[in-house]
Amino acid sequence: MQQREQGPHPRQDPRFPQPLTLENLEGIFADCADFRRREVCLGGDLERRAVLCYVDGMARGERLNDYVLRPLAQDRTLAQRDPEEVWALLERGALYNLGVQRRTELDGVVNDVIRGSCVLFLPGRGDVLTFSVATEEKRSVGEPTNEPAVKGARDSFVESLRTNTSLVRRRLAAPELKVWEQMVGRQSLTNVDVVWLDGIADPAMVKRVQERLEAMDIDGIESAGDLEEYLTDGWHSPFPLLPYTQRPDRFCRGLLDGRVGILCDGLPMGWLAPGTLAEFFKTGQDRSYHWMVASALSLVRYACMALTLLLPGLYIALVTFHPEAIPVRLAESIAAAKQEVPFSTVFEVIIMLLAFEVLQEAGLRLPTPIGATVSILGGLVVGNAAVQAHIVSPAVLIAVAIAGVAGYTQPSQDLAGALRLWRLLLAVLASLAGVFGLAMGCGGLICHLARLESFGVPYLAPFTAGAGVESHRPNLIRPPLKTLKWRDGAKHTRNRRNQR
Amino acid sequence: MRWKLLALAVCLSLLTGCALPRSREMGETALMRTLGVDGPAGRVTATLSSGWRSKGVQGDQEPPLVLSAQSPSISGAVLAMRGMSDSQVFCGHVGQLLLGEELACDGVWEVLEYVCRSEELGLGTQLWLVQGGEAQDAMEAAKDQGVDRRLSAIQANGELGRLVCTVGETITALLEDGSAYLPALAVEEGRQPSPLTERGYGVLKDGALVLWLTDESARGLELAQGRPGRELLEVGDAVVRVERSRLGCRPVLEDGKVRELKLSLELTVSVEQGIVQDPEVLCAQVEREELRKVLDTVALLQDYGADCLGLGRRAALACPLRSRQILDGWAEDFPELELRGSCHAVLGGSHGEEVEHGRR
Repeated sequence: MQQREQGPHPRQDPRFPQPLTLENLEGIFADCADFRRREVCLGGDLERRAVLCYVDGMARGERLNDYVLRPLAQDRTLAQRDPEEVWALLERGALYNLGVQRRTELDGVVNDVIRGSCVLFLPGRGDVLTFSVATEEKRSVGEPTNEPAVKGARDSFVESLRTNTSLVRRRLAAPELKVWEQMVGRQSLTNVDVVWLDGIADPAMVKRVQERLEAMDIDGIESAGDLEEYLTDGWHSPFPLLPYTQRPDRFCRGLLDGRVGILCDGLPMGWLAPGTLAEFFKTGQDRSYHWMVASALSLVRYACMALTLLLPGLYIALVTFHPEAIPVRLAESIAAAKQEVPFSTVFEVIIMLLAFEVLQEAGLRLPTPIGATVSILGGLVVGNAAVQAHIVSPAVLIAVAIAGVAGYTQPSQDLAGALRLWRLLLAVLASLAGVFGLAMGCGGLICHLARLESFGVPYLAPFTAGAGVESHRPNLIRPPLKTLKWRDGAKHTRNRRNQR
Repeated sequence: MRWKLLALAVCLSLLTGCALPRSREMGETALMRTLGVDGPAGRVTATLSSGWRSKGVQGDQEPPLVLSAQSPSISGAVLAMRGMSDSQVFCGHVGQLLLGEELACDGVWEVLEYVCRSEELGLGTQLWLVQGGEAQDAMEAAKDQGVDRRLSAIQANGELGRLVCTVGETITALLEDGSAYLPALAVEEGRQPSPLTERGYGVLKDGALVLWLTDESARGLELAQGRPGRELLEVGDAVVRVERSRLGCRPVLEDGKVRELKLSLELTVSVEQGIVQDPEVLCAQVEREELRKVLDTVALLQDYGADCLGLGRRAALACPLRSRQILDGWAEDFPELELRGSCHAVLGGSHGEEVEHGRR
């Protein structure tokens, strides 16, 4: 009852209020088979003993042996000096370790031990020393899988937070690069870093992100959604409000633009706040190509967005309600092909859209060697067989296929998913009221997008004046870099100018 | 508050009387391509033709569907035809409208008004007149080939040029000039590959057919409108063609009335075959011939008081300060105008050089 009255997630701070003793620490790690306790004789003196505790698997054995146990056992001065001097020596260099912390609270000790440090207890003392000997087993920096780089750097974020911050620091060597850390998740105790360039990023934006992280009171962060849905207010919209990237170079470009970056331990990606619609159409290659090529590709992406959204609905509207708008030869061809199909146009299109999603989902779930084959077979065989059996007409198949392929040109899979949902909705509206229904759906979509905000910045900010500040840059194309002298005004960066 | 306003807007929109569009399945629809209207007023015969149709994924061809019905009104006849077929008759793709001669003599305003009001027909529908016959006969005669295909071929390949008029253009011309011209067809039984052939133009005045322009008078009309077509002229040993033409118009006013109309014709001529012995002589001959055709055509139009060339508007544009005066008296002045013409021909050389002949 008391738990229910206090809410579903009562918080206790500190988590372990007991006094800092070896017995209490062992009590916390009772039933943990990987918790180890090791007694050491200081300097070979059997009368002087210390206790070392660590978690097997998290602490690296070689470091523990060479840099902690060996000097503890072999350094004769530790047996000859009085305890206070021994303590001071241990804290200040007798043991060969970069990271040493003096702890007086059980909470901090438990946190350090779990993260791979070892804790040293000396009898008669109320404080302890923790030494950072964590194992560095992690995935090596490889190529980004979802953002292939044709021209440019090929490193990618990994699951280790500190490795990720080092990748960022290698690119942005400015001392103004700030890294603020917050532990999120009661059970996972995940470290989340907020990264920004002091003097460029809007301090209000930084504060907003920090406050949202501090307000997160959840069990743990194990997936990207655990962070995104709590940081943004867009639960009612399928459109993503926080762009992410696997590429450190793109992450750093965002920081240089005045965005605030977020890195999370255990997730090989970085987020950039705020996220406006135009950000989801950019790729890491845009600045690598010539501005004309990049601009053309950008326009193609926007055109494909319109195509994937509107083509199925437009097909339904024109064929069912407004056939006079179709060129006569095409209309005759569609009418001829439809003569032997028993289903209505609306049913055909919606069934094909759903079939497309099923094939795509099946391709994702299957192992890679089988998935590609099944996708090809499903697409070719099923599609061809469906046409031959007069279940669907070829025009519908083509329209849905073009819309589907156009959706794959989107750099952001999150945005592509949102577009797929709206595509289905617009098709339903078109089936009800033709072009009028489609137009109303588009109007509703625009209103919906206009209402969205990402950390206080309007979602359509690059295209509108909603932020109250001039953008100073076109967003449909990528102008020559020499002309992009001003950072985007919508982010309210402190330093607007980025080059001479 | 926002949702309440939205709900109110939806309710109000329902009260406007606007209904959702009606759906139809294209597989059950017969797409009509040509409409023909005949008969005197009060007893209209409407004919619809679909042209050759494809069926199935393989595109097998089906013969054209031709429907015909009679009714006191055009809409009644079209409505009667909708019940004659096992498919839904859809007129949204009708691109050609044929009018019989009898109907055209009575007046075409009823047909034009029907097209304006129709949900399916559009102002871009091409208008054709059938000389010496009915539209139904023309459509039946060209049934094997497909009326729409034949008319498209005539438009693209016709020797007498490509002056095609749509319903919208015809209405505009009738309202602005009181007169309009329409391309004409004729049915020649036994002619191959199709009995339907082009036959000049018909001139409407106040919506009724008053005059046929054929042969040289049709040629004069095309030259005056800047669309000389593909007609070839044999001048000596050479065969030439007028590639471009432009007619200028300048009125001469006297006592506030237009007494004289100066027409200046500019031609660009190309040699299709043969050798040009003397370019100046050739140009002079072409100028004489073509100017005569234009002047004869205008004179013919003056006899009927039908300014389908828009000469009144052109004259008003040439004298903007007196434009209102010219236009107000044009209906009276046009039949009595004295015509003066001049022509200037430019010959395109074999190596792209131009040889000009001096003005007469």
